[in-house]
Amino acid sequence: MDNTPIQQLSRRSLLQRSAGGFGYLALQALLAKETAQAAPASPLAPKLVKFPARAKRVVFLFMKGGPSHVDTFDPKPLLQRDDGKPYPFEQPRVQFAATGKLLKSPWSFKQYGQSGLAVSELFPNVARYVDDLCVLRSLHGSNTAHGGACLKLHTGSDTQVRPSMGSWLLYGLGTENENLPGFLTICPTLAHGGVNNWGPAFLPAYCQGTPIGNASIPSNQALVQHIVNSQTSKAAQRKQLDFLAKLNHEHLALSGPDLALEGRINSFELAYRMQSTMPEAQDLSGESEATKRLYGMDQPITENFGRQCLMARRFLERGVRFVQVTHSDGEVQWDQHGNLFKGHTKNALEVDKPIAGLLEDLKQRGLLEDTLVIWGGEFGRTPTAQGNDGRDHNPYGFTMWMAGGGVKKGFAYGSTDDYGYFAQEDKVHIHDLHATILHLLGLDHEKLTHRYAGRDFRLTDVSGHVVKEIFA
Amino acid sequence: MKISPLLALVLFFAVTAGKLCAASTEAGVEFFEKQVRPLLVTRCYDCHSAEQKIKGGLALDSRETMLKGGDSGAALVAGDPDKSLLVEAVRYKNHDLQMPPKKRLSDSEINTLETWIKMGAPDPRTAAARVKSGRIIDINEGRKFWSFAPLSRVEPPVMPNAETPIDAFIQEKLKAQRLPSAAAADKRTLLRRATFDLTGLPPTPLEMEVFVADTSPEAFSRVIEALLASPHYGERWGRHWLDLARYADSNGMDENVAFAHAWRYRDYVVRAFNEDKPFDQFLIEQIAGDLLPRSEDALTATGFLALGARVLAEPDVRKLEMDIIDEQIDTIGKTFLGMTLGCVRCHDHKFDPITQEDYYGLAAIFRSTRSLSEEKMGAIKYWYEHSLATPAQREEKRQFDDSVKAKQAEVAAFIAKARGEIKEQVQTRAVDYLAAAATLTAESTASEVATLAKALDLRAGILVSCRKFLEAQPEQSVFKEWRELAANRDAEGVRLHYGRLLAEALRTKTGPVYAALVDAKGFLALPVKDTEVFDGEMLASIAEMRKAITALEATRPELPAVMSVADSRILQTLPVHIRGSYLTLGKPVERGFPEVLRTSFNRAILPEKQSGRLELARWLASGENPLTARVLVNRVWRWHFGQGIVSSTDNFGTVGSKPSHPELLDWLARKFVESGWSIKELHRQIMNTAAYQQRSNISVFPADKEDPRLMDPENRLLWRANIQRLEAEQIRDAMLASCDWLSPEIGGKTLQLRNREFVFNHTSKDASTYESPRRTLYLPVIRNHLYHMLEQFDYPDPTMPSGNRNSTVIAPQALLMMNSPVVLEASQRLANRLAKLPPEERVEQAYALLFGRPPQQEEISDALQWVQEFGRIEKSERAWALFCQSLFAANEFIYLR
Repeated sequence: MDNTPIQQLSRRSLLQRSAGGFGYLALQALLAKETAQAAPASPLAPKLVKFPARAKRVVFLFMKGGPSHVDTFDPKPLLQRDDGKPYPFEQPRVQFAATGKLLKSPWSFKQYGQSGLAVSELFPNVARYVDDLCVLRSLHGSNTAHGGACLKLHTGSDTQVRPSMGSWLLYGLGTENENLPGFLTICPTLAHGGVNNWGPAFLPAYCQGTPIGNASIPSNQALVQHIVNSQTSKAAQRKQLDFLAKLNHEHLALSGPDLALEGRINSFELAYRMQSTMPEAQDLSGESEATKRLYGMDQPITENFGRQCLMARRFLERGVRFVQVTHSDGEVQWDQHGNLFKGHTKNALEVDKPIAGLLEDLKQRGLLEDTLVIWGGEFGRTPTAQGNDGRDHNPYGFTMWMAGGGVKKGFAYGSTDDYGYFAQEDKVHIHDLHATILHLLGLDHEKLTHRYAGRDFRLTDVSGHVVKEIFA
Repeated sequence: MKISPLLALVLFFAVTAGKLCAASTEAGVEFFEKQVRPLLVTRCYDCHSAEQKIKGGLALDSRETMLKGGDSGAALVAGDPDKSLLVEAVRYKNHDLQMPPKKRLSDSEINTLETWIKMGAPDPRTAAARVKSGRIIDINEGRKFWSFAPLSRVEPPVMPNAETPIDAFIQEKLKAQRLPSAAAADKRTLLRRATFDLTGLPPTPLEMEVFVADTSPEAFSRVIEALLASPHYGERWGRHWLDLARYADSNGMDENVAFAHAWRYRDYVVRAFNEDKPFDQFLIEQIAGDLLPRSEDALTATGFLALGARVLAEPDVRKLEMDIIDEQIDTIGKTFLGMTLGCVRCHDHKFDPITQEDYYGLAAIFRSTRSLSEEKMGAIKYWYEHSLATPAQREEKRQFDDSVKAKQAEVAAFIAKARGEIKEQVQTRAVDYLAAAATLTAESTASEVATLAKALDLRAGILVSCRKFLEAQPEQSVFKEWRELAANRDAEGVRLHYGRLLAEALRTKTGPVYAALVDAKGFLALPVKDTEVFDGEMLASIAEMRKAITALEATRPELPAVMSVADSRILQTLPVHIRGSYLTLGKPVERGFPEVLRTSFNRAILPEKQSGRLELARWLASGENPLTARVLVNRVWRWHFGQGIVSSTDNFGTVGSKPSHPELLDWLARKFVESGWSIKELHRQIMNTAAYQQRSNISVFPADKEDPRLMDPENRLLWRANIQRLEAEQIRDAMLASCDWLSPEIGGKTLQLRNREFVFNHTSKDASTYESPRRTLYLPVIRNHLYHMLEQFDYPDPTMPSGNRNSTVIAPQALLMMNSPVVLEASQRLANRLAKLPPEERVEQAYALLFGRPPQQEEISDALQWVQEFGRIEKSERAWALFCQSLFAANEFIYLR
């Protein structure tokens, strides 16, 4: 193809719209080159103003349904003391359901590690890594319902459809492996926001998250859609694609140079390669028994989530930018309005070992340093009781934790009130969380914008403070 | 001396002021400087000072701005901490007003502020040197912007070679830039382009041959007329409109429940396009059809306002109502005016001359409109619906409901009877239960109880509750002896003592023992759960009966209804919501339309007893409104050419793009209004031009012209036709049409769900299916989980209006064409269809069906050679299916030249 300026121009505009596939790194290189040649500034160029990246990739362990912070990572001695008494402060103006008196945690907390951070007996394995954790105890959001809260956490908006944070990261950073999607979500739940939780909204289509299975499918059966052909052998398909390429090249010669047409020819080759790279990344047969045990894959209770976590590590290793691992099943997993004891015991059992395994494995492989691990749900739960063994939704104060990727180790930031209802000290709003995550990845949340329908959009809308205090 | 009241007032003020001055000069100022100022500087100035930011309009760095306050009012009332917003905010008691937002002040810091305000808030600071002022919107200045200006009266320029007025406008620009234009497209290319354009379907081989053979000058005009008269025209152009109406068959957002009546709006739109309903009427019906003389069409049209995605489980209903109104205003703004009005909910528009008062004038109209139903399910609120049911249908439904109720009553009676029998039987054996219970302890396990019950032929569930009751009710005198005997586990003693008493009680049916015996909550109470009372056989029969009821309920007649709105209590005014929140209200605004678009100096007078939607709709649809016609003709232009005259089709504001041909746009808009808002007439105007009919490339560039690839690489001036990729629906429809799989049926309900049924509840199991031969338009549009074909091929997000679909190229599209069941099946069907032909003709027919042209001799031999070679690696009958699939995947199939 000749190299006249027109080709560059239309290549740029094509790539901005389409990027020809998952491979986006090439686009960045291309744009950088063109900018250097003083071509008209790309709308992408100015917003790639970066800080030094402390993390290169993210794994988000999403606990669907809202794990109770006062029963896991936010110990509240006064709650234990005042069990059965009324909550002494004003309750929220809008409650999801009416709740009763204070309910002490049925689990005891213990201090672990050199940091002495307290973790409840629900997470004995994760507790062993407490000196790697940065616990944020003052998260707060605005939406009391699952759907709204999930959308808020994933996209920053609970009223309108906005790009997911993984999409924004991909938009800002691209990916390091052109043969895999840059944003994967393993067994996501289709309810409560569903696809919008990993959708690109108005960002270019290559920013979309690619789901592997969904929450109703066991992780050993989870596949990317259309990655397998039920009828045609690989050899036959190769021959077919060669024929297709011939047709397309003849058509291109007739139509004159056109970058969409060329891009589409390449997209079939990329798709063909993905049919090998995706199953290869998902295939755990090469992992040692010791590694599988580390993730709890030898036990039925931890097998499913352990597999999800191990797959996540394999994707991270292969340069996928953002991997989400969802813990959810046919029910709204962590949503214990009742049966708190039974439900949280089971849920924690399912994830504790696999998460500890993931942390250990990332450490051993030297990946934890530049991988940001995030753990949390769409909200926490009330310190007050619903029924006699349940807690309601609580977006007003809850806990998430991070590890690796440039955050302080063995550190707790912020706090809720004496009973754990409202975030009080060093509050971290969802927008602040997003601003902080982007910053850790080297992006300025105020500059990572996309113009759509006449205005510039951001993940953090018009809000967001970077919580620098947690940076290592 | 007599002091006049006026003088008294003056004196009073002087004294008050003097007091303050005194405080300011002495200890007060010292207190301020030592305690208050450092606090304000470190904890507040970041967001509330002229030097840094003035969030919420509040600056705390001068006495004057502090007293003036921000959007929510004065920050303090000197002398009264309890009435001061500043104190309320730092006390953190009001969850909606907490400052500083990240970290509460310490108690002593709060105390400092309270003390200071109690002192009268002594403050020596003067107004900051630099006070940032908000942007002032100048409406008259705003009116000068091109899109708000009235439509100009322009005549087409005189261009000798232009066949039509539109071509004259186009050629004038090209000539000015010294650009050439492409020659006319060949007939096959043109027919394929026009047929897909107007009907979304490929031309049949027969249509193609007829057109190629027709050499008369009117050949193409005749094609246009035939296509406009086709019922498939409405399916294609109605679909364009549905993109703007963010049409969907489910809510999406937080709770994905089915809109099982949405299809009526979809079919209304298809009908409206097929009938060429005047666009002004089409607009009015969609915004105020319920206020027009009653017609089913007009009612159905208001689905436009009801189809938005809503956070149905939002617990704050007032917020939800304002969210819905915002969605409606935003959709109307983008769709009809090309204006982003949604921005103005929280603040004056940052770019366009639209104020918050304009917004709340509109919001007042929609606040007087009901969008939610009275019905709800738990936390989930439902949208408003108008019933279309006839009395007969209602009666049928009532009878059905009664029959379900009767069946339910039957089950209840069946259970009650069985429970009664068990109760009686248990009462005759009361002494056995008491005796057995005496041998149990609190530690007895479930299996021990079961073994014992089995041995004694008792019911385990009742035995457990009997023992629990006796443990928990120690003070009842009847059971005093049991308690003593049970302490020694003396079952025989229990029998001796209670055997006679109980027999006597059953005989006399009086006395405290009898009362204890028949007490519904007593020691022989039946457990509430059926599973603890009945045996397996009985439980199975109950389950069977209930299953039958569930099956019956699934056939419940669904009364016809349309998603809609209605007028509600009419509000004459609505306060401005500061920062978009109903908790911080500003001054009231009367219902009205945005000032910059008003054509008269007077505000519109809206009826006191109606919401004003009808007036709003008529104002939007008026030929005087400069935006409506411009926006619409530009949309039609975009849908024909792949690019609008204004390329930002949904934004005609100051950050939108400028028109490439402003005179042409105004000329088209004026013609459109004059034609009686006829969209079909607009198609004729556009498609009968050389501009529409030209080739998509120039093979030889004239030496005396500029190179248009350099001068106008984006083809803004239309020196050639754009190469356009088929849209998602066109790709699937064309595949299905080519193999005779496509159903020609028009309209009707296709969603398999009942109204308000969950698409997904929390189980993530997909209840929607797409295995249907219907045109893609009729496949369910499930928000949050679009049909994969739609999702991958740039179907716009059905939660927001979109008049400008993307056309991306991504690898998942290739995977879909390679591996998805629908493509594999279509390929096989096409191969089957061709199978009766000799090999050479198969190739010819496939090319005719998919590419609209005969293959060249070399293409035939290539294909046949490939099929033959393929037979060496796999069964040769598969070869033809894979050949067909390759053609489906080919660029020539998926792009229009």
